[in-house]
Order: sequence, then structure tokens, then C-alpha cells
Amino acid sequence: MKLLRVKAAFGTLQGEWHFDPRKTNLVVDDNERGKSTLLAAIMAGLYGLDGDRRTHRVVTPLERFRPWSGEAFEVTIELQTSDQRYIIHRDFARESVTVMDRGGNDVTATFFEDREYPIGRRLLGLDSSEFDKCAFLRLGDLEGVVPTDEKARRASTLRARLENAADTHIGDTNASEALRVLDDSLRRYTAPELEFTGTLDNALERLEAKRELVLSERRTMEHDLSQSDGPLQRLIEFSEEENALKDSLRALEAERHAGLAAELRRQIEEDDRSREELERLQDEAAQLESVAGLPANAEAELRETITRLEETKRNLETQDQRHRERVERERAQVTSDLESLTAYADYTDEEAARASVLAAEMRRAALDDSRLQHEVFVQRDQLAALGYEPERIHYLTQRFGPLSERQQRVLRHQSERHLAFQTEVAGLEQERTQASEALREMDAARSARRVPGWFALALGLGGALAGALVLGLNGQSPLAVPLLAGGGIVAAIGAGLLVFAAGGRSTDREAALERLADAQRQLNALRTQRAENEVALTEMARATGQRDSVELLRLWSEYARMLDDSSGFMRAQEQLSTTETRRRELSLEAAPLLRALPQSTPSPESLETVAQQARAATAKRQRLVELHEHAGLAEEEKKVLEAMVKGFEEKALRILHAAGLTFDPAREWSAHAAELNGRMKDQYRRATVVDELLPAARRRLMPDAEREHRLQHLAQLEQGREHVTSARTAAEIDVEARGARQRLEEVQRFRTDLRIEFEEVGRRAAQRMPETEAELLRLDRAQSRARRFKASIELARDTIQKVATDTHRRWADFLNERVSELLQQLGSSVRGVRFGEDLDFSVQTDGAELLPRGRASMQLSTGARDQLHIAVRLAISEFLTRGGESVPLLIDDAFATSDDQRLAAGMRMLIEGLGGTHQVILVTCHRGRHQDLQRLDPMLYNERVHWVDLRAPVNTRT
Amino acid sequence: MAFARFLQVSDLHLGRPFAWLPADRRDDRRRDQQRALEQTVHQAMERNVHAILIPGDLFDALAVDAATLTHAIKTFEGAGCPPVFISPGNHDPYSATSALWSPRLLAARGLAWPSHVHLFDSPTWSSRLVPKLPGVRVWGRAFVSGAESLDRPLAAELLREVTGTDPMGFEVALFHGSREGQCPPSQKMTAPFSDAEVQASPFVYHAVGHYHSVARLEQPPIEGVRSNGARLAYAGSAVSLDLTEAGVHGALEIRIEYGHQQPHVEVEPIELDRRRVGEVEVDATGAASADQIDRRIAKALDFSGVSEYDFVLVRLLGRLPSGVRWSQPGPDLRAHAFYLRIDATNLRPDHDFGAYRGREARTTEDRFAQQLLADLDTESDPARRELIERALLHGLDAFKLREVSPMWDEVGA
Repeated sequence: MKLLRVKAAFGTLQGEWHFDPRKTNLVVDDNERGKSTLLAAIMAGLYGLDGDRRTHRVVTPLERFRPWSGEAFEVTIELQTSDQRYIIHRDFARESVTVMDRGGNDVTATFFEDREYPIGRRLLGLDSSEFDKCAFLRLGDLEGVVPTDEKARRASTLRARLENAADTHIGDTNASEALRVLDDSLRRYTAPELEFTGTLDNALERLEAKRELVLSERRTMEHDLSQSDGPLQRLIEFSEEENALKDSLRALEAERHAGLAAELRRQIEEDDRSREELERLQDEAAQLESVAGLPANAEAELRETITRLEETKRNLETQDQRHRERVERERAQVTSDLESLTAYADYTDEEAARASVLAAEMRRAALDDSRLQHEVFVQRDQLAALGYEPERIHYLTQRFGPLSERQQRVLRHQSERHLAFQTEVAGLEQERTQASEALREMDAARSARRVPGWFALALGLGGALAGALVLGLNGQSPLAVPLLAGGGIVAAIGAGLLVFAAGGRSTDREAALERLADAQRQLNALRTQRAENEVALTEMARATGQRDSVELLRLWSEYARMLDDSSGFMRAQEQLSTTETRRRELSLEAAPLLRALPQSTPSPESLETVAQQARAATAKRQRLVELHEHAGLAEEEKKVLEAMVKGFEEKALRILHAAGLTFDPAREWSAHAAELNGRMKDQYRRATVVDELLPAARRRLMPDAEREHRLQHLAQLEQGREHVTSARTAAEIDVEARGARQRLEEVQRFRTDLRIEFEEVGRRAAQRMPETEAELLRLDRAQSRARRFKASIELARDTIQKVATDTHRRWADFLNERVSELLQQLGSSVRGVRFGEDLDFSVQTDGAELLPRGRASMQLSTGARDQLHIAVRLAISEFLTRGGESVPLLIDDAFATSDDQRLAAGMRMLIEGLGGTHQVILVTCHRGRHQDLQRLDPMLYNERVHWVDLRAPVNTRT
Repeated sequence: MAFARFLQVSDLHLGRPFAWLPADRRDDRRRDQQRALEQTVHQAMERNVHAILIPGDLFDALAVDAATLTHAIKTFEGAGCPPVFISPGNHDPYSATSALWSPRLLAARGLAWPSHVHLFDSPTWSSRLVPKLPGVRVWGRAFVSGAESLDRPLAAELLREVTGTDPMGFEVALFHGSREGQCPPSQKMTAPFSDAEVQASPFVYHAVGHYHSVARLEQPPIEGVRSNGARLAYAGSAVSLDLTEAGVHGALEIRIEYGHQQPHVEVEPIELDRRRVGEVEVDATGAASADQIDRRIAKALDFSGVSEYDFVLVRLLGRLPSGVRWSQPGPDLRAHAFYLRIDATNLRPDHDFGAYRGREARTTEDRFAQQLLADLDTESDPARRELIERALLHGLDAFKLREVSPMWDEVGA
């Protein structure tokens, strides 16, 4: 590929430059003029600019070369390949790419690949970084091409490119990539059985570990199974013990059956005895049936009746004698008492009662008297406290006390009369005034109504007069007549109005006049009565010795007030006098009643004594009469007692008869009672037998069905067995059976637990064994697969490495030879290099052995090292472009560190050695040094060097 | 003329783990075994046989779980079950400490074989009369160890104990052993015997267990031989126990006609296993995706008549286009059978090895392929050849696909 023209608006670079495809292009200019930018523009034109901030954090290439002026940002490259000519235009500002071919056809689409337009890769087979390493030569950047680090060298695609280039046919994958793929397959091996992805060796280790784990689990299960013999032996022991215990229980059961049979037999025998007892009791009950109807209380009733009979008989004998003795004693006492009361013998009961009444009244009158006296004193003190002197009271009483009732009433009602007079006079005056006002109003209304009447009357009369005058003067009737008629009518109306006004409200006026007259009349009557009252008062004042009626009324008022205030005193005094009178009357009345006590004065005590003694005398006399009458009553009591004796005897006989006994008069009642007692005992016995013993005996009896059942049960128990009487009780057997049963349950429980444990081992093994077997199968298969895979990969890898040696030898040999040639042409002290498989190389200097690159770099001078690097890079570029499109070499002042001799040798090598196969574009700021070289060898430079002056775009000189 | 009828069933291997099956299928298969045992008893009653003969391996191991043991005992306890004769095999050998057979140990677990189940518990021949068949005796011998036995059960010196033949009856042998020359590769040779020994034995019929496929030894009427017809028969496993056991599995009905002339033995198979084992080959050549391969497998399954009850081994064959990967069947495919196993070990990528061999090696890939192909041509060891082939495939995957997976390293089914 040869560059023909570059037009750039790129960074600080602006212009268009032409390059010669057949010559070495020497771009000369000062520093900072854009020489390196020109090379960057060429590379950008071929590969574009990266604007990804993820890989260029500080500044992206796209930003770096964007012109500051903000104008166009584009590169146009015209180039020629072996078979085509293209014009590439990249507008970075618009992010557009256009590729036109020789015929002007747009072939841009043919370069589109993976969302980009990597034109350089399509034309040269190198991607951007590889082009940078192969075609873009700068000082000291060999590290970027052949890294010192081995891992970085292996990661580099350049080695793969060399391998591909070593093959005459570029395959899809080279040996390095195939080896990497194989290595990766061993590094990233996936074992689904482990759900693991990692190195194959790790996978194998893990598979083995897991297999061991599963084997261990299986061994554990097998061990458990083998150990199950022990539990099985114990199971047998438990089983045998269980059988022995069952036998023991069966023996105990047999013994218990024997005991049960004995018990049944005993129960049946007891039932037999019970039945015999029942029959005996039934016979006894039948024998005692005769006393069945005997009343339950016959004996008690008989004994009570006998007791009462005998007691009544005894009472009958003693009662009469005691009664007589008592009456006689009392009569003597009463007679004696009567003798002491002889003075009161003539007092009647009424007198005694009257004496008592009088005594009471006298005692009450004495009490009233003392109470009233006390009250009089108290009232008197109260009046004195109110200012009533006894003299003044006496004076007023003397003046007004003698007045008649009518006079006192007149005086008493003076104030009411005066008040009534004033009130009535005021009312009448008011009524009279109202009547007068009503009359005046009505008269005023009449006058107002009369005015139109008068006016109409006057007008009518005037008209009539005018008519009359007209008639009288002119005789013209048409005027006079209407005037006359009209005047007459108006006058008539006026008269009518006057009459109407005069007659209006005449009824009201008459009523008002009547009210006025009545009021006046009543006023006159009141004044007359008042005058009469005044006259009567004056006369009364005169009669009482007062100066006038006013004085009289003042004293009367005082007297009336005093009477009101001393009413209590007056009433007490009056009652006191009444009481005194009553006491005197009582004394007079009591005197005749005290005839038995002639010396005594009438007093309540003496009256009461008389009354008491008189009543006592009367009572004694009455008692004597009664004692006389009681003497007759004792005989009746005797008859009653005798009747009672007979009644009791009859009752006792009835009781004996009811008990089925016959009364024998020869025998005592006690003998009959004893006989009845015997009968009662029989009845009690019968009741005991019938009510208690027989039911109890029946209860003790076994029901027939149960007896039958037990008999059958007993027969069954005894069937085929000896009649065994168990030596032990059922309780003892039960105790032993319970113990055996407990042990049996325990053994059964142990056996069940053990059996479950044993079965569980088997069950778990049966369940888990297949799992482990399957797991082992899977793991074995996985291990086999992994091992087979590893073996086959390793074999493949070894084979690839083996056959790849030839490939390596091809490119390594080429590089070794070509680098040595180039170094020789450059005049380097380095004699040769030896490339290894991994693209690293050793260096051989003059007379020395091969040195590793790192050590050689330290020993070589800067110029020699630069020459070495240039030679290596040129050789690699040459190898890569063998048989393909030649790569243009863009060299950025690669000989800056070389002396003039090395510069000359280097330039000659470029011009003569590489210029034939590659287009060389060398940029430098050493214009003078190159001009000197041109002067030294003008033919070479004139024929083979195309000078490009960066400051004069398009203008070039050869 | 009289007839004796027996039902012969063996190698039930009750309690087998079936570890090769997915966990959710194992229990189903164990129930299939139990169902087969129930069917055996049911068929025996239905066919009115005189006895059930079990020549070994009723159980898969001595340590079967209690449920399995209980089921077997209870099945034989069923009303109407004919007498059962069992001679333990190498998987369930008799011993006094065997939890399967020892009455004491069974009693300790609350179990006991019914009285009509007779167990031969001696490694020597012993006999037992068959009820309702006068003069007919079943002779049996038991394995007393799980180890392989070299004893020849039909050797003349061992058969000396077989005496006292009733002229009105006959003798039947019941044992576990390997018929020489007929042992399948998946089974061990134990208690071997030869056809000549069978011919010379005093037994009218030999009910043998151990081999899991049905087999018989027919005997034409020859003077000096005790019977004709089937002299010996293997009933095979009652249900297929793994994917190698194809064909019908079940029991045999043995009908023996005896009396005035040489007894004649007929054998009739009775199918007890409702599931079949099938094998299907599917050519995946040219399939462009894993889904296409699945569809081809499904089509092949449908075509071969496989039902959802069956076990199927699908062998994938052919060459896949470069880049097509297939690791396991999809879920839809699994529903086609009770259990589906795919063997993809014969599946290979579609590399043109001829082209590699024929052209000039200009690239590393060419040189690599030619190198390994040359090694393959010269190598005679199959394992080594297989390794070289896998290395070649992986290397070419690395060159062509830039990815390598252990697809070609699976172990065959």
C-alpha cells in the first residue's frame, strides 16, 4: 500500500501533502510544526480515532486532535494498493467515512465491519494496535512491540500474526490460539456433578474427595449393617424372654382360673346358704302373720290408758276432801275481814265510785289552781314590761268597761268608717268629674255638627231671598224660580242638618247627666252620715269625761291596745277564779261521802280511802256468797272423775280386743299389758323379718341367670382339669402376673425399639445405598471423563506444540536473519539476534556470547539500542507483509540519537533496503543533517528521496 | 399318565437398589419386582400348579429392608398359595445368621416364613416330597456363601446322595448355578455344570437360576436319560434388572408328563415384567442443532414402538457438523419412555480426515491433524487409539471452533 496524498484539518495541522509512492518521503520541519501529527493523521485516516472515555480517561485521541479553531476536523487520504486506488475521507466532526475507488464509486460499505470502518485492517490485515507496532516506528518504543514481560508477550496478538504469517495460508486459528483454547479448557473445566468450574486438576481432586466422601458414607452404612448382628442377637434374646414370660403368664392365668373356680364355687355355696336362710325367714314370717294387724302403738296406748285410769281413780278419792277444807278456811278469813270494815258496810258501789271520782277531780282542781296562779304572775310581769301600769289599766278599764256593746262597736269601727268615707268620697268625686267631662265633649260635638247646617240654612235662605227679590223685582221666573227652589232646598237641608246635630248622642248625654246626679246624691248622703257619727262621738266623749271626740278616740285606741296585750293575763285570771269556784263545789259534794271518817276534811286522800274500804267490804261480802255456792260444785267434779274412769276402762278393753286379747277381770291391768307386750314383740319381729331380713336375704341371693352362668363357668373351668384348689390368692397371682406383664411389656417395648432401630438401619441402607451407588457411578463417570479429557487435551496440546515448532522456526529464522542484515546495514555493533518461541530475543554483540534482551539493553549504548529496535521492528514488518500488501513505514525521527555515520547508514538502509518494498515516510526536524547527507550523496537523494516541506503544503521538491 | 405342574421363577433380586435409575424411578422399579412376585403367586394359583420353584436370588442381598422381606413373606402367606420350594442363590445365601432365612432371627423381627414354604438350607442335595404328588420329590441345594463357588452341583460324587427314587414318581432339581459355555459377560460363573452332567443327572427336570435371560436345554428322547423335552431351564430374571437385560422377563410354567414311559417336560414362559428393555440407534449425521438431534431420537423411538413403560438405550451415531453440540436429551424426550439413556460415545464431529490426509500440510492445523492421524494408523492398542482420536477431535475443535468441551470423553453406556 502506498500513500499518495494526505489532506488534513487535524489538530494543529492544516493542509495537503503529496507523497511519492516510489521514493522515500522525507518530511522535514522544525519541532512543534506537526510532523508527528501528520503521521497520526495518516493512522487516523486508516483506522479512525477512538473517542471512548473508558480507555482514555484523561483525553481521548478524538479530543486530542480536534482543532482548537473549531473548524473542519477531517482527514482525506488517497492511497494505492496492489490492485486498487482509494480516496478515504473521514470527517471526525460529523463522524462520517467515505471511501471512493478509482472509478469514483462509493465502496464505503465494503469496509464496514463490527459497527466501524477499519479500513487499514481490511487493506493491510493489521488492526490498529498491530499497525502501530509494525508500521509506526518511534525511538525507544520496542517495549510496546515486544514486551519484556513474558506473559505480556504471550498475550500479544503480534506473535499470532507472525505465526499466521509463517503459514502460507492464514487459517482461522493458529497454534498459539489453539493451545490457548486447550489450556483454557483445562483451566475452565466444568464438572456438572460438582456444579464446579475451575481447573481440571481441581475438579479431579474434588471429584476424588467427593468420591471418598460417598465411599465413606457407604462404608458407614455397611458397617452399620454389619453391626446389626448385635441388635439382632439381642432381638432374639428379647424374643425368647418374651416367650418365657408369655408361658409364665399362661401358667399364672391357669392358676388364676383355678382360683376363679374356687371363688365361683364358694359363691355358689354361699348362695345356697342364702337361699336356705330365705326359706327359714319366710316360714317365720308366715308364723307371725297373726300379729300383722296389731296397731303399732297398741301397747303404749294401753299402758297410757291404764295409767290415766289409775290416776283418775286416785284423784276421785282425794279431790273432795281437799276442796271442803279450802273453802272453810277462806270463809273464816272473809268473815274476819268484814268485821274490820263495819264502818263501810252502808256504802254502795256508786258511792265508792263517786268518792274515787271526786278524789280525782279534787286532785286535778288543785293542780289547775296552782298552775293558773303561776300563769297570772307571769302575765302580770309581762304587762309591766310593756309599760302598762296597773293604775293606768285600772283607769282605762273604768272608763271604757261600762260602755255598751253598741258604743264599743262604734268606737271600734271608727277607723274603718273614716277610711270608707274617704274612699267612697274620692270615687264619687271621680265619677262626677267624668260625667261632667262627657257632657262637655258631647256639647262640643253638637256645636261642630251644627256649623254646616247653619251655613246651608243661611245659603238657602239667601238664595230663596235672592229668588224672591228677583221674582219680586224682574218677574223673570226662569231665574227666580230656580233661586227660590234651590234656596228652599238648601235651607231645608241646613235645617235638617241642624236637627240632626241637635239630636246626636242624646242617650249618652242623658246617661252622663244621670251619673252626675247619682254621684252628687251619694256624696251628700255620706256627708250626712259623717256628721251624725261626729255627733255621737261628741256625746260619748262627754259621757266618758273626755274633752272631745278626738281625745275619746285616742284613749279608746290605748284601751283597745291594752286589751289586746293583756288578753292572756285576763284569761288566766278568769280561769283562776273559775277553778276556785270548782274547788269549793267539790268540797261541798264530798262532805257526805266522808261519813265513815267524821274527823277528816274533804281531801283526795280521804275520799280515796273511803272508796277503797267501801269496795273491799263489798268484795268480801261477795266472796262469802261465792264460797257458799262452791260447796255445791265438788260433787259435780266427782261425777266427772267417775265418768273418766269408766271411759278409760272402756278404751283399755278396746285396745285389748284389737290386739286379740280377752280381758280377764281376775288379772291385773299390768298382766294384760305384759301380755300385749309379748304380742308387740312378735309384731316387731315380724316387721324385722318382712321389712329387713327377707329383703336382705333376697338381695344376697344370686340371680338365677347369674347363678346359672356361674355354674356353667365353673363347669367350664373344671372341665378337663383336676379339682385344684389354688394355694395362692387371686391377689397374689395378680401381683405376680402384673409383674410378669410389666416385664413382658418392657421386653416387648425393648424388642420393638430394637427392631425399629434394626429395621431403620436396613431401611436407611436400602434407601441410601442406591443413592450412594448412583453417586459413585456418576463420580466414576465424571472422573473417567475428566481424566480422559485431560489425557486427550494434553495429547492434543503436545502434538500442536510439536508441529508448531516448525512454524516458529520459520518466522524466528527469518527474523534472526533479517534483523542481522538490517543491523549490518545500519552499521551496528550488534551482530545478530536470536528470537525465541515467545517472540523474545537474545542479542549477540561483537565477540560476545548471546545475552538476554534485558541485559543487552543495559549494556548497549542508546544509539545501538535504537538501531537494534529499528531493525527488529522493520524485520517484523517485513515478515508480516510477506506475500501481502506492503505496509507503509511511518518513521518518526528514528535516527535522532544516531551519529552522522549511523544516520547515513540508516538512511541508506531505508532508501535502498526498504524503499523498494515499502513506502517509507520519515519525519525529522534535522533538516540540516539530511541536507548534508544529500550533498554527500546527491544522486541517491535526488533519485530516491521525495522531500516534503510541512510548511509548504502541496509544494514539494524532489 | 400323570401330570405335574410347577411354576419356576428366579432371580427376582427383591430389594435391588437400581442405582443406575434416577431416584424418582427406583421405587417404581422395586414395586415392579414386588408386583412380579405377586403375579407369580397369582399365576400359580390360576394355573393350579403343584408347587412354586425358586432356584435362587429371590433377594438381591442379605440386608434387604424390612418392607421388602415382609412383602415377600406376606405374599406367600396368601390363601391358596401352593407349596413353595426355595434354594438360596449367591445373592441371598443361606446361613444360620441370615436375616432372610433364619427362623430365630425372623421370629425376633416378628416374621416367619409360612409352613408351606420349604427352604433348602444345605449345600448338599436334600429332598422334600411335593404335596399332592405321590412319589415326586424336589431336590435342592443352597448357596451358603455369596462368594463364587467352584463346586459342581451335578457332579457324580455330589449326586450320590440323590437316592430312593420312587418308581411312581420322579425327581426335580432346584439349584443356582452356571451352565458352562452359556454365561453372559455381565454375570459371574458360579457353581458350574455342563450339559453332559445335566444329561447324566438322575433328575427329570432341572430348575436352575442365576442367568437373567430365559434359556433351556432341550433333550430328545434317548435311552438312559431320565426325561425328554426340557431337561433344564433358566427362567431368567423375573423383571429386567438393567439395560443389558432385553427381551421378555417372567416365569416358566413347567408341565411334566410322567407315568408309564419316559417323562416329558414342557416349558411355557409367563411374562411378568410389563416393561421392556429396548435399544435404538439414531444417526445424528448432519443434524444442525441439539434440538434436531432430539427430534431424530423421538422419531426413532416412535418408529421402534417404545412405550412410556419401557427402558430405552439410544445409541447416537454419525457425524455432527462442526460446532454442533449435544450433551443430554431435552425434557420432552424423556417423556417418551420410563427411562431413557443416551449413549453418545459413538457420535463424532464431521471432520474430513481424508482431506487432511491427502493434502500438503501448509498450516499448523494440517500438520497437527496429519500427525495424529498417522499416530492413529500405527497404533494398535484400542485404548490408545481412542485417546488419539479424542485428542484429534479436541485439537481440531480448538483450531476450528476455538472452544473445547469434554463432549467426546463420555464413557459409553
